[in-house]
Amino acid sequence: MIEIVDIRYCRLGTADLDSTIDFATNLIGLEEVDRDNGQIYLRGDHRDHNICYFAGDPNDHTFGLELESFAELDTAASALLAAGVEVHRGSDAAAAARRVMGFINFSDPTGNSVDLVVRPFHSGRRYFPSRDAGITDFSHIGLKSADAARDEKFWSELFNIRANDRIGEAALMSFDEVHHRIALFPTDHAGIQHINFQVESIDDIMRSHYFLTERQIQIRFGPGRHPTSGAMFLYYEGPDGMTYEYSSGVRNVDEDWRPRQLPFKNESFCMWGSRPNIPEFSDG
Amino acid sequence: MIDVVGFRYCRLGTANLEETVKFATDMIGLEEVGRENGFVYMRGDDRDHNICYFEGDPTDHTLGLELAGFDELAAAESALSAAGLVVHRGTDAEAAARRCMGYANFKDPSGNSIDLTVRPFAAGRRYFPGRDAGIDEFSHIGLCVTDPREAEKFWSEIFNFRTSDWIGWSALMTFDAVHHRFALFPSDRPGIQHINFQVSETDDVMRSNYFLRDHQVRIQAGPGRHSLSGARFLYFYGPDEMIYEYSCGVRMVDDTWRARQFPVNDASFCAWGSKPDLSVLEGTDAAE
Repeated sequence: MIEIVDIRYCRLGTADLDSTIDFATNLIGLEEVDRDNGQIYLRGDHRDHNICYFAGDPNDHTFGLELESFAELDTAASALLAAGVEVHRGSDAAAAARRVMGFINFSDPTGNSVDLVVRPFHSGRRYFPSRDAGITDFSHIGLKSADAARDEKFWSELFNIRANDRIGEAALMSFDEVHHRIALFPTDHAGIQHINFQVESIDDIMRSHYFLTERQIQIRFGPGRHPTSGAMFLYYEGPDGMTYEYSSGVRNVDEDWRPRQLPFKNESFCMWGSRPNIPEFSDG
Repeated sequence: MIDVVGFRYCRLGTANLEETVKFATDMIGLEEVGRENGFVYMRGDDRDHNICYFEGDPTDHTLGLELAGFDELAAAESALSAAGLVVHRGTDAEAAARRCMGYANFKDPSGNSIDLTVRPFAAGRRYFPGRDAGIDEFSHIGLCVTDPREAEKFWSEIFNFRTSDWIGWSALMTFDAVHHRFALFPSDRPGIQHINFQVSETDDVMRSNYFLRDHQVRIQAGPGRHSLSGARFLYFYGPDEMIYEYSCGVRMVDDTWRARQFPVNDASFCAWGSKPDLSVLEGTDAAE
């Protein structure tokens, strides 16, 4: 069993690096922490970075999960190889670009690129954005899955990941007490389906709703509230068609939590009555 | 000083009684509690009723406040007469139509019709609506006044109303712990500008936001959050252009509360950034 201890970052190719950074800082409310060799690091919490953008294919997505130690990394590499998964060990230079001390990379059955990292950088300075979006932390991602039942099995058998609720085949999965860290959404190709930042309160959700609407940002879903996690949310479109989410009040679960099955329909995604303009959430 | 102890009802004329009652039931989420002599009584809390609709002039509005007893009612009549106002003591039949044991009516300096009631009815049955809007209670009204400075003086000198906050010259006033029971709106004529029902939580405000939009109800403002009271709100139009409001989380104030002055701008009206119709606060003589 590979023990994940944290979710760390997304690495995203983008067609227009400057306009993406402009969007991330002025609209999402992220702080640019550094630029190095064409890679730009941004964050919404106290850790070194949560997103690294680079000029490249907008479908080139990787997300980074943290393991406890190099020993755990070796164990993980063996476990993945034993399961027939190809594993690539990162060079020191590649690790430096990820701002970690070491990592391996593999692809899940759908083809999603995953970094398992050891000792990712902490930061001495606190998060200090230029727009007050109320972001408290990078919290979860939506992950595209060509076969959600198969991929849920992959993640839950090889990793310390379990489904806490399901909407149709879409599994909302976690490795810690937060209701979900990785949510699998059925589609036909690999990629990060959305990137979530937690904000302090409903006030932040609603302020951003009006702020983004005034700036002609396409709101894709919400303001709404998920009946699964209890979180209030707002999804909106960023550069390269990526969906970003603010949410507040996600449920924490413990060992006594029993996963629930919700039908795949709008009210399973929003208990307030908003309707998604996101293909993976839509009940048609 | 006339001590108001309760905030009881609105009596509203309407051009189409059936349509209005249907809107109140199916859209607002009020419960119809009785019909008698063309009056339809409705409520959003456990008291006898909060709104009485009748077929008539849609600008015919009366607000019902509660006094502690008949002695207080007699004292109020004297105080109002001494202030030069005409006071009408309701007959038993008129009191019965208001579902209280006695009342007097007067018009404030703007011409707003006010009932001062004694022993308005409680109800044996609890509130049980046909639509789950999450309403907890009838809580405040917006009151149209011809001169907000004069109106504030009148209500605070003759009555136990005090100002909790100002936005421009408009006072938000109360007689108890709730941040406001009256919000004064400058206007060239009297009347009730909006009717507020408190709902349990933000979920209710947001659910109604989508519900009402889905039913083609015109949203007047919100969803938003009032910077003055802290309440999350949604305003929408009902029949006869009456504005109704759901809100939750209104601030409580006590003796140590110091009234604050807010400017007339978007941020005073909504902390979230929804776009208010500030013309309602600028009055008819606002040149800017």
